[in-house]
Amino acid sequence: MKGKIFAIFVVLLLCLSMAAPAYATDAPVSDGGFAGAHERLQDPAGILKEDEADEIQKLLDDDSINLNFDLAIVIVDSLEGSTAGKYADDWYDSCRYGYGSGRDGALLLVSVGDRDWAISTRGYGITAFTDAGIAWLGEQLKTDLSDGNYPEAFRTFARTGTQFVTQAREGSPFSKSDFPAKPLSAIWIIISAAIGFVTAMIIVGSMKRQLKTVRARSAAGSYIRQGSMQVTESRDLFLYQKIDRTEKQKSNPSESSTHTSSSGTSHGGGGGNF
Amino acid sequence: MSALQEYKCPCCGGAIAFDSGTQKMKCPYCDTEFEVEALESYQNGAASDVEDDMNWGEAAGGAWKEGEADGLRSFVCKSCGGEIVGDETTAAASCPFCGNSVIMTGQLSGALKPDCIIPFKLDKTAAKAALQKHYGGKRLLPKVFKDQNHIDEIKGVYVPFWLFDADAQASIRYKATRVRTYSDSDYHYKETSCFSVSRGGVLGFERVPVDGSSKMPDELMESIEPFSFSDAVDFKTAYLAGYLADKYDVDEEQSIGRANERIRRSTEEAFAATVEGYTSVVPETSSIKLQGGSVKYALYPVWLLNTTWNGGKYTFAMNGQTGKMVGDLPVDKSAAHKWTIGLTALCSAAAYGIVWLLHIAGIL
Repeated sequence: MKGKIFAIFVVLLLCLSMAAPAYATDAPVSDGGFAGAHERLQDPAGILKEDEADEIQKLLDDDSINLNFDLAIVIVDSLEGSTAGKYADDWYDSCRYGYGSGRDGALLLVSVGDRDWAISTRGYGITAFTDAGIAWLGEQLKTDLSDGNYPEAFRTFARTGTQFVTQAREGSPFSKSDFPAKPLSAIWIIISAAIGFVTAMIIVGSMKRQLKTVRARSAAGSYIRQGSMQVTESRDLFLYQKIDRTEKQKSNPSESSTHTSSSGTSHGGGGGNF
Repeated sequence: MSALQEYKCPCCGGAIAFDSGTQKMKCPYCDTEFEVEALESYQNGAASDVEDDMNWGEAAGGAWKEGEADGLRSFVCKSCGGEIVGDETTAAASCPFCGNSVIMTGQLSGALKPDCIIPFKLDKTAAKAALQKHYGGKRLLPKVFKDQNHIDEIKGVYVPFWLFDADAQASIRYKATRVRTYSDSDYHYKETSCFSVSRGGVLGFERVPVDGSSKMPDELMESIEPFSFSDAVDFKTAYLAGYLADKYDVDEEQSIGRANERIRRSTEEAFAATVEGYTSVVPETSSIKLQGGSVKYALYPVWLLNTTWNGGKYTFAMNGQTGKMVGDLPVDKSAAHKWTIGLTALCSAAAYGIVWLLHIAGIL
């Protein structure tokens, strides 16, 4: 518990220290305008170079203003003992990201020290960033994050986040069917050849069987006297019953799952390692 | 003092004890619980399992009347030792089994007189036509075999059969399971109910034939079955005119095993068909007793066609009553290889096409 309180305190402190004078901290959240009080890119770990940080910052600002939907990125050294998901939620809530009354937005948190990433969504962000979408986005980010190519990973987040929101507003949030087709693996050539060979063997086997007509008869069904069968004993005795159960797989990848953050607000999101 | 009764678990076979907590019988090894009555009935059923009793009574065949076998001649093959019978008009030149020449040894002696005979219904021309039909539609039959093939000899032979009649009294116990699946919001459930199923009763068999000639392969003779006994008549030597008859050299005692095997299989199949409504049925014990068993000695009509090709001997047999033709044919290996390569290419291309379609549809 102490660790958790400490983590929230650290986040709050960091948020306050990052407060940008350009934005009014007391801006009303219901006016549909920009509701955040802090920079959309926060890099207390100092991972990005200045020109990279400026570029990403501008990208996030432009996209967020165009979409009326906050896209934010936080890059830290450590999760301070928390989990990436919870830490991302805390950043989101503490920095008051999000547009409108729903606080619509999505935040990407990257912990360089823990090699963890997480996305926290809120309001319309929960609808736009589906579980399938986050899983797919994670796949796109993973390579750049593990190679230390953070600017490219953040560009991908901004670009894909914009795509998710646009697609959701058009009525079809990102689902499994939107996955771009991967090239067909060469293994299928071998599998197809194996299927072809087995099928050919079965057909040729049946042709060979046509040539073999001499077979012993194991039964005498043709010689049963008609109407001679009498069943005099027929007993079905119940002995015992066994019940095996398996847990249902709950998460539906075409939907968005939600949870409640430590401040009591509802968030969506997901994450992983890199 | 009463004897200590030990119960065995029907599920795992372990010794089972009464569990006072659940008031049920509980297996300490697999934790399965049973109602006391169910287990007792199961145990009583298991105790009453009896051994098979598949003995036959009554000797088959009859004695020849005086002068009846006078017109019959016995021939012996110098090569395979096969002994055949023909009437005095039969000019048997070669053995119907191996094709070598036979010699007449004199009058028939020592053999039983058959109880009945099914006379030939189909002639030699029908046998030749049936063979041509037998060659048809077989892609891997070497073309040269079909083209060059000249039947060395076609012989109408009366083959000796022992016919077994009996009522099979069966008592069979099965272990059966019924599986039901259902789900609630959190889990999928698989409910397996286990039953001990008993079936008992009688099934009658009539004239189960067993080939009485060691020269005639059993598989070949079983392959041309069935014969319809409705055409059978009392044996008369006149039916042998123009045909050969094989003299039995496997007696009824030696043939019983094969008849029992076939009767047992059919009885088990017939009673298993009455166990319905289960997901799986496995026989546990089976006891078959034969009642009113009797054996008859009969001659059944068979056309035998022999041919040789590439040093191999091919024998075809046709049921002389129904026209059913059987006989293994050689395989054209080079054609088989070509077909395998061609079909592999075709099927692989088709499989890859399907994979592509699934890929485009986003399934793969």
